[in-house]
Amino acid sequence: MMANPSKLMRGLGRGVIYALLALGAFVILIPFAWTLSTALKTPQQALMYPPVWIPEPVVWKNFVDAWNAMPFATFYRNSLLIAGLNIVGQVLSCSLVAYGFARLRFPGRDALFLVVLSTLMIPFQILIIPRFILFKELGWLDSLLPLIVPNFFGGAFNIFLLRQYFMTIPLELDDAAKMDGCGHLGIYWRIILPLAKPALGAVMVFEFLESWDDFLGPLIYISSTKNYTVALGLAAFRNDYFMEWNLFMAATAVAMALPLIIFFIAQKYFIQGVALTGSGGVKG
Amino acid sequence: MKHSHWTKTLMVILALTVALLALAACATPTSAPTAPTSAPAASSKTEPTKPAAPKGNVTLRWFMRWDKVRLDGVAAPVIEAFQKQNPNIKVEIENISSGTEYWIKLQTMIAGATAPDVIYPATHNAYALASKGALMTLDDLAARDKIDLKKYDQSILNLYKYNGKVYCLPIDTAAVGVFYNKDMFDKAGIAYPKEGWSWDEFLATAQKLTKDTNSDGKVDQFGVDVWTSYWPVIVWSKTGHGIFDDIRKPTKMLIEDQESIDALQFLGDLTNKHKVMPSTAERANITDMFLAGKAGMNIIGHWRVPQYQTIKDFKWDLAPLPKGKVQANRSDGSCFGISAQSKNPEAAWEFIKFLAGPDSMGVGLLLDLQQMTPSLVDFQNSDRFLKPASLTINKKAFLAGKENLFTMYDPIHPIYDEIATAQSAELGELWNGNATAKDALARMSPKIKEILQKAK
Repeated sequence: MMANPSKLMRGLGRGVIYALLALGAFVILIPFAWTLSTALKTPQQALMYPPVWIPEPVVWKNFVDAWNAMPFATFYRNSLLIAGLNIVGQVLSCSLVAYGFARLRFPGRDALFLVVLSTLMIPFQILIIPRFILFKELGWLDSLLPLIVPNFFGGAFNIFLLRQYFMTIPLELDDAAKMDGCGHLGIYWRIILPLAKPALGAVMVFEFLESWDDFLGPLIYISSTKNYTVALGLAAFRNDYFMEWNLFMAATAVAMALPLIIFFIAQKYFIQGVALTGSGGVKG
Repeated sequence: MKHSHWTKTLMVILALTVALLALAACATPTSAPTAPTSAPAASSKTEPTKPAAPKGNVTLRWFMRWDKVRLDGVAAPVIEAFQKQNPNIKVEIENISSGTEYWIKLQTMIAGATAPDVIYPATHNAYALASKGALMTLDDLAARDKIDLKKYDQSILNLYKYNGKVYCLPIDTAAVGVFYNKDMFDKAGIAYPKEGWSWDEFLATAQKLTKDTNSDGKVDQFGVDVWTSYWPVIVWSKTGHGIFDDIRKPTKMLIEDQESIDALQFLGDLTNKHKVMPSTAERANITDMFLAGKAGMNIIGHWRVPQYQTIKDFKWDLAPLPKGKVQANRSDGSCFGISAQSKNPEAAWEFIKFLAGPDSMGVGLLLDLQQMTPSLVDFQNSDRFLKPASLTINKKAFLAGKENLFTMYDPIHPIYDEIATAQSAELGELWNGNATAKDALARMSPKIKEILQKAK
């Protein structure tokens, strides 16, 4: 019985790949481990040198203190509300526009699509002040509206992603639906959307993470604590004079919990989204 | 550091926009409302001693960047007391914890014409606002209400003047001193530092405090924690001059002389030659090695005292900075100003007097929190600052060098950010031992010249 050399080689190759992946995972997980470890330390131990990995004593109370230091429940509610509505807004508006670009023929379509794409080139910083003035005129400052409403007007990246995906859906399906008496909206709703679930999932995950992590938007538009998001609340733990690392890390761990859970549940879509766009998961 | 680059871009764009809007709005230099048009303060004209109380109910927006301790310990009681005296003025506080974000948001608000009434900028930001006409001048109001601006340390107040007019009331100075671990000094048998000690004595002390306590060949007790971010301090001290020739209209960087090079080299050598100060790598992410009992000294300001008050394991005290050619210290800090857009300038003026005026309640409460060195001379000399019940340390050390105060934000001109970036890039190489001070400055020099050239 001879060992199959190619099998052996494959096994070896696989071993190397796993070793590399494990190493990569280890490196990526260090900051997470550090966050959790520091979140459970006393203030003195958080400042120890050389750094301590295993907290002694373990201070679970940090989580309670961090949670009570500010109305975190309110921040969570605001962040969830913004993220939830933004997902709905982006998915609806972007998929409709993408359907138009993927399935309708009209003069100037491609030029218009280029215009949409070119909005990706505009740095966000340039828009800050004009947008701020616009929302001020609307009387929306210090409300969640400026963080939500724009998302009901589409976003170039998601439109592009969905259009590319819709183009891969065979036209024959549309024709069949037309035979059965579907109009464009019917085709969009009954054929395209159900078949584009992976891409829609990717858009949802991207959008959630983007809303959840957005800091500059809330910073500029929101003033009252009752409208704070988690990102703003976290920033309030920092100040120019000193840093309570243990409480800050406890709050960070709490803020990370939801995106992490969502990531694990929606991992499939997230990876698909990256594969679809080849963007390495970096948006914008 | 992608992030900092991003922030910088943002700052530049915001600053430009603010400038454009200010131009577009044709910002006329604001003068105080109902200000006496001709009567200077020295005139013998009888002026109303009581300020014209603002009529009707007004709401002031007060935009701050304080931590929770200050919000609860100062902001809340000040607002309460102020509203007792001025029942028709309501004060609403908005707060952002960090200076960088405060500045971003403030500029956006000003550009969007929704500026808060009372603002709290740092020295160089205050100057940027004043030069754009975004702050009200205060001299006439002060003269009218007999507020004696001479009560402020004049080298501090001078930082808040634009074209000779005061536009912001300084509340504090970010003066620094040398905190030292008394137990560690006792153990090493060293005398405590005294006013007038030299930089060489400082080095000798640090060397005696540096120890490898567990004999593993690695230092685990350092003489002094890292203080390279305050590098101008040692340059002032050893040369007696600032970093630029003019903080408002800089034309030349002054630190290319031998004295400055030696001062910077001395600071770099603490880490790389004498090993008495940890390198950034050796510190890892420790916020404060002095607090952790791993460094015998730390050069830092009053704002760190509340954390040091929690120390239970050792006794500590405070000494003045070492003296070089002169005894020097910092003049920059924060101030309270009134936005030029404010619709209630009178009420805002009443409020900032309460916060930062002579004998003000705000300054008093801040002193009680052990959080700052005041800019008002009476407060500097008061027992409330020097001998508080809750703390027996040599607070006078923060006042050492009063005759030679310099700003860390040098120049206070808006090009500071760009200058500081160029400086810290080159000096970073000196701190980590990859360059001598001479080489670092040689590489820095053309960059700085270019920035100055552009700004002309």
